[in-house]
Amino acid sequence: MFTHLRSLPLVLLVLLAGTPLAHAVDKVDFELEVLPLLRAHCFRCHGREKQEAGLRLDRREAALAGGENGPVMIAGKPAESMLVERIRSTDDSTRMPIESRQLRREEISVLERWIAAGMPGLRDVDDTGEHWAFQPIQAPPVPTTPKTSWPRNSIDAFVWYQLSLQELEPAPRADKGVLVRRLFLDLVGIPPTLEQLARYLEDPAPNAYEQLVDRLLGSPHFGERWGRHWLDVARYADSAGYEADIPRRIWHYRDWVIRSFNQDKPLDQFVIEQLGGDLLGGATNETRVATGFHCNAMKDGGVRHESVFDRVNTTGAVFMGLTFECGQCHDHKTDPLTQKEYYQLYAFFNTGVITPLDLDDEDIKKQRADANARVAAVDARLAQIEKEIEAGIDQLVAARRENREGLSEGILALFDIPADERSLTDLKQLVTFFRLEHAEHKQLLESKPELLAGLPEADTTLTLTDHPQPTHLFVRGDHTQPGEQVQSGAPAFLHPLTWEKEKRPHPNRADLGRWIVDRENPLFARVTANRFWMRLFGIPIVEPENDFGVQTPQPRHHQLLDELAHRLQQSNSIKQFVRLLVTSATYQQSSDFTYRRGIPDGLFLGQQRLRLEAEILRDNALAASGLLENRVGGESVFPYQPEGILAFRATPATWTESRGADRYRRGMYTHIWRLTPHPMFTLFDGPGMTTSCTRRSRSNVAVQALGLLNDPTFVEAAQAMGARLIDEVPSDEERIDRLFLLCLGRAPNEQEQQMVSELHARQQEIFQGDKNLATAAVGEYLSAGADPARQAAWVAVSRTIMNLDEFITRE
Amino acid sequence: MFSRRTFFSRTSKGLAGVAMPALLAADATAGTPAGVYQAQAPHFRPRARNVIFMFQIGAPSQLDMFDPKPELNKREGDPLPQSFLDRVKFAQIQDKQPQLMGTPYRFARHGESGQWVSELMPHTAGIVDQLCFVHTCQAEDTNHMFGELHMSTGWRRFGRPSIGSWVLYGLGSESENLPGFMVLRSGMHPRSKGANFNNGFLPATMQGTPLQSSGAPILNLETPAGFEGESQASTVEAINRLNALRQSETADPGIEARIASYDLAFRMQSSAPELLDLSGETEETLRMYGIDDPGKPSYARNCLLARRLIERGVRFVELFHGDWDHHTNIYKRLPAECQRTDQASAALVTDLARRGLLDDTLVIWGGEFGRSSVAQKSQAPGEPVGRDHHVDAFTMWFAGGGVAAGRSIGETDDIGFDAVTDRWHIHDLHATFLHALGMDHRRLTYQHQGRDYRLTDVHGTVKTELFA
Repeated sequence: MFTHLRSLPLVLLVLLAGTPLAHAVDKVDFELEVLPLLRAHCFRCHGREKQEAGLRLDRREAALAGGENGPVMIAGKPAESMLVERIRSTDDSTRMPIESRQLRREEISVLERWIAAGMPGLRDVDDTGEHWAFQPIQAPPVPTTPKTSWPRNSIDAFVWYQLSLQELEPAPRADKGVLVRRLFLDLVGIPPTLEQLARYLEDPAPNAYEQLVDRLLGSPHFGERWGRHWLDVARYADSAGYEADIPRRIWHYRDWVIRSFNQDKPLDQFVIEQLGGDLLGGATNETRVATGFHCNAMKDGGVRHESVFDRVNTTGAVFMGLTFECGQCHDHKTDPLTQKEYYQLYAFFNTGVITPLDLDDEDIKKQRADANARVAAVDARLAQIEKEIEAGIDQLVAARRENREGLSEGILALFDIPADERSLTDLKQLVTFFRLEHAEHKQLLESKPELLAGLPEADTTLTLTDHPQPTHLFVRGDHTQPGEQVQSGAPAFLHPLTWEKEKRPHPNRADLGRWIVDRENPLFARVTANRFWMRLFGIPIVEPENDFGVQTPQPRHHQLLDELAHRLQQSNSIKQFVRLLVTSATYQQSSDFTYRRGIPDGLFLGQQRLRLEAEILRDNALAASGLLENRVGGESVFPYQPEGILAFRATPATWTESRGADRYRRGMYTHIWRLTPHPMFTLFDGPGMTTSCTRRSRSNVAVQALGLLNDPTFVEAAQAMGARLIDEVPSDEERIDRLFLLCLGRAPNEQEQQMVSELHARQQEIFQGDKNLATAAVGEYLSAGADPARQAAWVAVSRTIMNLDEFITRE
Repeated sequence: MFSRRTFFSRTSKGLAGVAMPALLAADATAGTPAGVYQAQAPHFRPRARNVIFMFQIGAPSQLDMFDPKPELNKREGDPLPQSFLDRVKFAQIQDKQPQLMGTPYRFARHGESGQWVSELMPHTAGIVDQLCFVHTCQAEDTNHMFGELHMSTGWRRFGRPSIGSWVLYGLGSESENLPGFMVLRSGMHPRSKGANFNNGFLPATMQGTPLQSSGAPILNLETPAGFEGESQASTVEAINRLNALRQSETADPGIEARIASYDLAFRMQSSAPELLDLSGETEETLRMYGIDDPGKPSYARNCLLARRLIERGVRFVELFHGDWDHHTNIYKRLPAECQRTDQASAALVTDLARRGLLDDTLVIWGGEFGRSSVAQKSQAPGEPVGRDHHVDAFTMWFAGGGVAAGRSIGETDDIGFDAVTDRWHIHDLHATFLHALGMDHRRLTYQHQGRDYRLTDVHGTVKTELFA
């Protein structure tokens, strides 16, 4: 049925450009290319503050006039220009920039070409020295791209313009099969089914791609995929961390995140609810659950301030892209954040107390309240009986002495103690003895468990509630040395924080949330847009993605970033923003490394092959083999994990393996013991969950190969796949095609077909030679009426394909 | 079609070898010039090529083992002098008037070098002529978690590369069949867990590969049932051939790294069991380490494995053993911990020496900090005393790798509270370790987020007295 796919050209070059790029773009853009170099390397000594050797380069006339030794730039004659001579100098003592790294070849070339062209665009630079990321976000003018029809939206116009300045071309559009798998893995984190694949590939509509995007944005699994990204930054786990790492019940927050992405909750609301959902005018359980965001900080009784530090630092990294933590002990060394301002931020979170919220519906709550009241009544009656026994203890002892049968020595000894010599303990022991003989007491006690029977455990989740308390600055960050008292407030170097002053003297967490999403905030939209870009392209536009502070140089493409930030602010919609990104021609470029060769890293705006994240890796194997249980949300589950993982914990933890379908839930539902996470999670660079993780690494080590080859979960997926091929496909040749389609979203090429056929023949030979091996290899998945050796060969072939780099990579 | 053997030898020629982990570390993310990951030649002639760090988790009590203080014994029960009290950083003691506490253990001079060791460590006492003691090591953080991180990464918070990763970054690995940085754990694990052997921002191939301390030492080493033998070999071969095909289509250098991973993984399936199989060790060797049952995980077995790893070219072996955190009941728990570790630690040094491996291997013994010279009284009445944490001076010992055997460095004051001479801050230790390996700690840098990072940050002085 799918064999016709093989006729699709492997590399589908859909370069929509009408004209190939002209090679002679000798224009040099002052703003984009020259100015960043001057800013980074020259203005410090030849600018507003200092004019070494009388030279000033940030003013047009002054730059043309030169310094004490005459002009430094001669229009059209780079070789005769002193500027060029000095940046090219091999003598450390004269080479510019002095006491700094030598300019790179391509940087020197920019300046030479610019001088050769007569220094076009040179102007007075109104450089106040202010940091780019702290400037207001303004929609940059979209460049016109007259010579091409490549751009599909404004992103592409910026990218095209940038590339054309460098005489570069975008990579061709990726093959349709690659694109569909890329979209599925990026948007929902599971590969397309055969039907989904066919539906797109066979759709002749010119907007088939956009329709697919919309279908995926509407999938309930979009919230899982993008929710998991968010849970990384939210340092979500099912336990509290530190040595004790006690379990905590907070999975409702995880599900809130999934829901919010699926509902496309407006971005501003998404942020405000997480910071102060309990403090909103119309606070509901739903908005309170959102405050689980900051309950996720690690917590240990003795070091509460560490949790509050973490809330401040996480807020800085996640929403502002700032390293607030430097302010814990002293004024920030590079960013304009004072230590006092750090503790003003601390004050917002210091009043937030972790409180379980009961999410049961009113009916169950009432039932539980009633049951508790009945238990209380029984307890009261029990206490009363015990009081009565105590009051009449002498008579009881006297009466019971008459009938000593069955009484222990100890009791008899108690009876013998005269009333006025009895200790409190003696008396208690006597009361205990007589209440055990008391018929009503006995009956009531036995009835107690039944009163609570049938009532489910309370369905709680952790939320923040506000409990005002003073905040003091910690001298040198030492919490045992409280200093000056501070009130909640925002750092002065950013836009002002406004709040309803008539209602409260100081702003609260919800106000902080509003301040973060304020259009005036230059950071939030840039940081968020940059991180979303990173999720879809592998590398962010601004490095590092969690520090937009003064130290961080200009983005690779400042105008593109601002365009993205602006569009994000405008739409206030995550789904619309993701749609903008994935429908761009830029996103749809081929990720083949060939197209990347020769492009300096700082200029690369293309696609790359990305190894799947730990959870997605497993989801992908389970989905392809048909094992995946694709239910959304609910309590965390305990799939297979090897023995010994939970050994040596300071406090014991349990891992009672889930039964049935719960073993095959998506990885994001696996219970997370923060101290001892599932080993596959750790093996494939899952976040440490001790603090916010804004970006995962992608390691590539041998023990990962061992995991993919030999871990029982992956072996089982291969077994299920083998059975699937036997059950669903009639002939061996078609089985190879089917396997490729299920795993890689494409048919095999001829070489692959041949290699895999040979592999299959070899494996079948092996298994036919040893039936015991075959039976073990098939495991519990032997299809009805199938020959174990034949099926085992397909399990082995499936294992091979499910270990391919392509299988664990989104291309 | 080429045979598996030729395939593997072809790939390993091109991919394995000294520079392999460094070169192949970057996954498809690229974005960094390949040269950054290139293994660097040492900056100067190294004294050692390998390291074994026996990290004693929880802070061993130097005053009861290595740093005798007769004066402290005499003043037992006296209040801690005010001058110390003013600046002492206790972790747990809340007493306003903590009292000095001597040691009940007998100290004696040992060996030709006449170094002091108490009766708690008879086996270590037996090898003092091979050891260099430093009694004036200095830490900063009294919290275990951050103290460990400081010792392991030079930074008191999470996120920085560990010493082992820095060493691998600097020198690469020489083992074709095993990862270059291996971690063995016994007893209690370090509080800050994997962060103690993480690669931080360095490439991931430089992270420590931990052996499991219970269950299978390396996860997923065993071929799953049904695929043993030819099936597995033919599968791995096919994976690599198909990957190579994809590599030729996409030109992605990340796939080369993947092929190398499968290659090493496959080799580990045969090399690691051989590594872990102690049946070839003689009775005498097992006895020397104090291993009764080679199948049972223990510190002693880890010490023996450490030697086997070094023999197989592993660059950096780190043992973590806990727990030395004796706040209470120290006179019962400390001897027990010594009993568990003393013999094997000493045996490792002896074994390395007799096999000619000690000269090339820097051996390090020590914890994240030390313990205090005052008594910590328990909150629970009747529970015996212990010692609280102490960061101002504590003892570590070193052997092999050009270390001055039989030397003792650093003096503490009469009550063992503070260094009187030779302060060796953690940063100094790190600078000195790197120096032993032929690296200048100021030049071993890695650019991350726009700045050059070092193991020693902006600190560290090489202490050449450590070396002969």
